[in-house]
Amino acid sequence: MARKREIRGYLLLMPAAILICILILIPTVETIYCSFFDYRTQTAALGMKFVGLNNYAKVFGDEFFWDTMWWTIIFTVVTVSLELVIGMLLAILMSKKIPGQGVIRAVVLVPWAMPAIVAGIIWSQIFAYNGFLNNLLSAFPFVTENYAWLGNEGSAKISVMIADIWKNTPYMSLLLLSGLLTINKEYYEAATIDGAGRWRKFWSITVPLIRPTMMVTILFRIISAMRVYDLIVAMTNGGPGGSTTTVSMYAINTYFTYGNIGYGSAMSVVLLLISVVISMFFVDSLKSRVR
Amino acid sequence: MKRTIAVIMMVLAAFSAFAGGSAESDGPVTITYYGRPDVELEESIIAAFEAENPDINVEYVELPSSSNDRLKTIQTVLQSQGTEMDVFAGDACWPAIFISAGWVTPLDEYISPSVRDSFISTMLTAYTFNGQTYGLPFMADVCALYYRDDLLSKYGLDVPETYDELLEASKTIMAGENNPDLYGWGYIGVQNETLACCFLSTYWALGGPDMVNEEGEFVFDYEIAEEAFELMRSFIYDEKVTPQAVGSFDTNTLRNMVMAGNIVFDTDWLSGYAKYNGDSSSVKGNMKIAAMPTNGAIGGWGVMVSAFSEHKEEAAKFAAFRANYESQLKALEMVDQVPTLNVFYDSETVPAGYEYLLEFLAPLSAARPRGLTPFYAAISSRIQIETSAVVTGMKTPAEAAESLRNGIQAVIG
Repeated sequence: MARKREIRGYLLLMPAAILICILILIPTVETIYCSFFDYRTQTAALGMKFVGLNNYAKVFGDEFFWDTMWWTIIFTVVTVSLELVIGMLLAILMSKKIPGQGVIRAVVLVPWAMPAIVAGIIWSQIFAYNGFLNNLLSAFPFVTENYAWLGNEGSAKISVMIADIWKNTPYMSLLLLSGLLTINKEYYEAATIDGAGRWRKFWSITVPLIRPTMMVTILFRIISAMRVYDLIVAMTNGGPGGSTTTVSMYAINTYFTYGNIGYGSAMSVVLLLISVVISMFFVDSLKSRVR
Repeated sequence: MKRTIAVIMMVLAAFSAFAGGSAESDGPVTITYYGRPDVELEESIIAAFEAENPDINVEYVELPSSSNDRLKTIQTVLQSQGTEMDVFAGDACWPAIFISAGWVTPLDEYISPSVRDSFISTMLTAYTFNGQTYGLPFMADVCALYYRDDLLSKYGLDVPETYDELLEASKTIMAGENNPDLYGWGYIGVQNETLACCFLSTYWALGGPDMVNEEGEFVFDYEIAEEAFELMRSFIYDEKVTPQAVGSFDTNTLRNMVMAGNIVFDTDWLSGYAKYNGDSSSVKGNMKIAAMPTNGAIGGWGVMVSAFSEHKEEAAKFAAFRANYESQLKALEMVDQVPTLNVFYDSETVPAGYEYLLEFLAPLSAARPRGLTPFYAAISSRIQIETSAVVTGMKTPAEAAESLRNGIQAVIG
């Protein structure tokens, strides 16, 4: 009887397992497999040639790959940190009983609901040389010239980060809000009786209790920030001078546009490994908390 | 009970599929065409083709709206050697990729020499390799030099034919007009394909050879590339005839500046002509078009036939139809596609109302393929990055040329 139940359990899991296999496992395995071959569309007629770890050696020697990797990491750290802080403030604000709470929650969601490519186009027009921001600034008497926001390395990097923060903070704040709403109000009441201030209550009650939610949210955001693609393509196409090109942009271009499937696969695998290490760190820290 | 019904349904479905299959093999041949997303136009051309060829059905698959996504779509089908695509529309800079991979069929056995000769010869060069024709252009485009005819006349200047003349004319007009918002030469300076085309024009004007010679060797000249970078840099930072913000100019930004009357010369594709001379432009009627000094990069689209097609003859027939006079006239009337046939550029045969096409002949005749190498996409991407770094002041021309050499070597090595 118990055995039958077990089999039924596995059977029920089958559809999900098969789906995961088809959608995630097979492409991943194929990418890893391709990364060991010299496989390019230009020489597709000659077939795939096994080259061992050559593609990986090339990745490690590719200066531009590491430029894109550093930029991706800086982009991820800056945007996710700011999204966390702003998201937390928004979440606290939304958790308060204020007039028009429903409307505020709906409005905050708009940027997140928008496709990244559309958000990118909107922001590229805001930062354009004769765009909204320069028009706004020209109202000030000390601004005499338009500034090329997307035409200078530093300001282009800041511009895409601003766009990403605008786009993804709502996601962060919504998940944090769900965490905040699960905290039992009695903890705060008890703390008030003990004479704790707002700041103390925030650090000693709110933060520890929403920590699991926060960790998962940060993890999701880090993984998605590490593979940011369409927002930046729409805003700068990786320019100026390749300075806003992310690893995933470089890998996707190498794989599809340049037709270098082997090399593009190796880049993707390196990015995957780095993402896995980061994820494991977060999952691990979640586990230790639970214990 | 439910299970029984499901089984019956499946059996029925299987039978009907077989029935459909056998009926199809007797009936007309169906070919699949991956076309540009001008749905109305493409469907009307297909309808005309099917009316003329009742034994061939054409199924139209709309390509995505971004050029990069279109390449991805087509490349994915060809890579898997799929037979689901027989004929497709492709950008003028893709044929080298497909030909080297053996993915497209030469069309010479299906088309007569007179058909070949009916195209503007430069437009056909983008699809011609080792004397074989792998595609037929149906939409012409080229990087051209637009100029303010009123200002050139005012200062008694000729249309520049070299970059030195371009610089001198710009300086004369900028000094004479004494307008701080007016610049001599502008172009699309954001990191994209048009910037690479702009660089190539400069490189060719300085004597740069094609990327690949007749023996198939890669002979791109990095020293001339450095000179070209230096020329573009000096126009911005020393001579100040190109706006310093050019590195942030996308198509819209550049065109708005031209239409506001703030640019004397600008490098743009043919689609700029209608905008510059449209009602919302303050320079309407004054923006004329000429060839870039020496050569401008070829653009536009053509039709190619997949090497994996099971109906190559029918596909080639459709390709020829897609690029014939009737289809091109329809495309011109419906979506302003610039035609590729000589007959449109003769003052006696140009369709009434489209006389402006005559002005396009000079730039189209000076068009040059960007790079007939299968690695063009990757090489162009390196050119875009380094040119963008130079025009935004991130790198010196020498540094950019060095990175370009390393980047390209890594791609082709």
